[in-house]
Amino acid sequence: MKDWYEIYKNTIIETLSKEEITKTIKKAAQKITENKDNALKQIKNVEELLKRVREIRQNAIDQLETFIKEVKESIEAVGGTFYLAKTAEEANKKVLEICEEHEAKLVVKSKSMTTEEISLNEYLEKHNIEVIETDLGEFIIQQLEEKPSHFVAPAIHIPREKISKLFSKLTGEKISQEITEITLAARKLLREKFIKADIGISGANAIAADTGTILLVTNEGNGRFVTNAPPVHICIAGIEKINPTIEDAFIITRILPIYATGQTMTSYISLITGPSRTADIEFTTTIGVHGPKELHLILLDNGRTNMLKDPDFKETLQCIRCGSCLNVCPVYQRIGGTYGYKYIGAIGTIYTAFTHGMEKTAGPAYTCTLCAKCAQACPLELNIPKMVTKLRSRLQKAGYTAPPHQKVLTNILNTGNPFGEPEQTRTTWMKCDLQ
Amino acid sequence: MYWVGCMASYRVKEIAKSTVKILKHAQISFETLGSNETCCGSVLIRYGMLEEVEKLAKQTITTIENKNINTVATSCAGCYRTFAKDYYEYLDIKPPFTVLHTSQLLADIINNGKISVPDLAPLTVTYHDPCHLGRHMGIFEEPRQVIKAFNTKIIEMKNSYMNSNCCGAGGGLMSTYRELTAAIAEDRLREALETKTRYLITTCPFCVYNMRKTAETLNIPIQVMDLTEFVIKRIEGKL
Ligand code: SF4
Repeated sequence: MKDWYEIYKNTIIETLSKEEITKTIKKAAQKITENKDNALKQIKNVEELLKRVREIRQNAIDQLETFIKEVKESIEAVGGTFYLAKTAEEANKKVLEICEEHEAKLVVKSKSMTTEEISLNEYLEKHNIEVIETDLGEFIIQQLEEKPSHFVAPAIHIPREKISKLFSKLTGEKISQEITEITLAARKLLREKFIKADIGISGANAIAADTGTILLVTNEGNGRFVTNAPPVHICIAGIEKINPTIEDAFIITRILPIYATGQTMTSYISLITGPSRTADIEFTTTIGVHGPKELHLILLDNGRTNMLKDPDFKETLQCIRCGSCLNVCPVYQRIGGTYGYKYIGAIGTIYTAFTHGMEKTAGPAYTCTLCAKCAQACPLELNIPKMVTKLRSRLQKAGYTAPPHQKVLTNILNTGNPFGEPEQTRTTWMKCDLQ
Repeated sequence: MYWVGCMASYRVKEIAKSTVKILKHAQISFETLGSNETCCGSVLIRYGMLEEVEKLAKQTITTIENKNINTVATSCAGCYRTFAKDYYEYLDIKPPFTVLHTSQLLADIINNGKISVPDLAPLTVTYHDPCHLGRHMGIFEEPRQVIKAFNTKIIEMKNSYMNSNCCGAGGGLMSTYRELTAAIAEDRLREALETKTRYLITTCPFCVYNMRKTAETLNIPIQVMDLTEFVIKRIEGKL
């Protein structure tokens, strides 16, 4: 336990030395912020919309337990199955169980931070199931065996030279640094995977309690393939993704692209309510036509209920994971994905504390400068710096004190100043030439 | 009372000296706690050592109270935020005195004509809003008013006022991840360079210390100064 500080510090120093990476991140982060500011100017009733978003999220979290029950009822009513996983382990097992039932060999995925949280890919691969990420950024990360560095743009830190090399290797053809050439290669590579896959796994950007609808926001269109082409669709999402009604859920997806990518709207928002069905023959409902015959919703707790019960951190669950706070963060702009474990940035340190424990979050939690640019960029006005301070207070109590901080405390207690300078020299400056 | 703060007492003494010189120049009577001043606990609050700070806070308040002081002015943005906001926000303690940052006091002194501004050649500078003073406490205009009063034009950086960027010294980073602090200071200094001015004025000893050191190390051609240093230099005709 005592090494967490040195280990993390060295990771920071190592990241700082990779200048081309930090430059790429900074440029992209600033560009998204610029786009966001422009998009906000284009939305007419933006203040009203934001007010509504805050009300919806607060209401959703305040009555989360009731809404979880409602989701279960709604989704079962339309022929889907519902499962509440208490831990990462439980969620992984459930997915594996479904895969085994269908003798699945190939799984395609659309981007999901929740599956990253529970390390689902590694788990399935260990059980000999091939997993292919289909979001271009995630696909790149997966192939390069790297860590995602942004909530919405996971490969933001990778320069295009490296990406063109990767695709040349994967296709066996010469793929140039032209982005259109790279995307065409990705399209070709992934198209057959969508068709061949036994199961599609997605996350959710919002879930509506009243209808059991899963809302998925993408630009590439991969989300549609993943949730439509394979015969089985599994959706895994944290319990906090629930919103009271379908209208509420839509408002969340309305605001999300503005803050996430600086778009006034994304190319695709998919609304999925139960498995595919028809009543075309004698008006008898039959499940499974062109889309999946099975839809499984796995809601993940994994520490979230503890967060919900904790007045200091409950607010965190309102977060819609837009990543807007990351883009303006001076620490993030310098060290990218190093700033966190699984969940990135200041808000990420709170998530990580509850999903992965104190040890994993200690280093990143002490990396925040508490400058509060994040709080200002957040559509929900979450008081992130205050929560980070409270998290640090918990860390201190749990014994995770950074050695330099310990030294400062000792100095203050002994000498009244953080530097450990003798008390009587505090006024030395007065003795100089003050006329 | 002038609350000096640990940074100005030990690490950036020019700020303490300049503040006292200005107060004397304006013929304002004041006192300090001298060697009885102790850390206000600002850094410990940032570290999350909230329980440890409680004793310090109570002790500090009692010392000031016993002197029958009703206004405390400080040149430190960290101490200012701690007195004016954090003691209450984190410890539920309300200090029984008014707290001012020197920039507020200076703006007031100038408005009341207590300092006669000499005829000065025009100067161009840029101003860095410290997080603790600007975004956290809403003090944006006073420091700018003071700068402008000395025939000085401010060229704003791309990110200023509410959007000002952190210098990297906050949150206890200066002691834990010094390299990162310096890297963030470099980012901020480069923004300052874009204004093509030679002087970067700010109002926090942490910002001054961190950015000054980084500018020196990396040979970035911009002079970092506290507002108090700027004022006294202008009064004395050294700038
Ligand atoms: S904390 Fe706010 S800005 Fe950051 S990801 Fe969550 S909702 Fe977006």
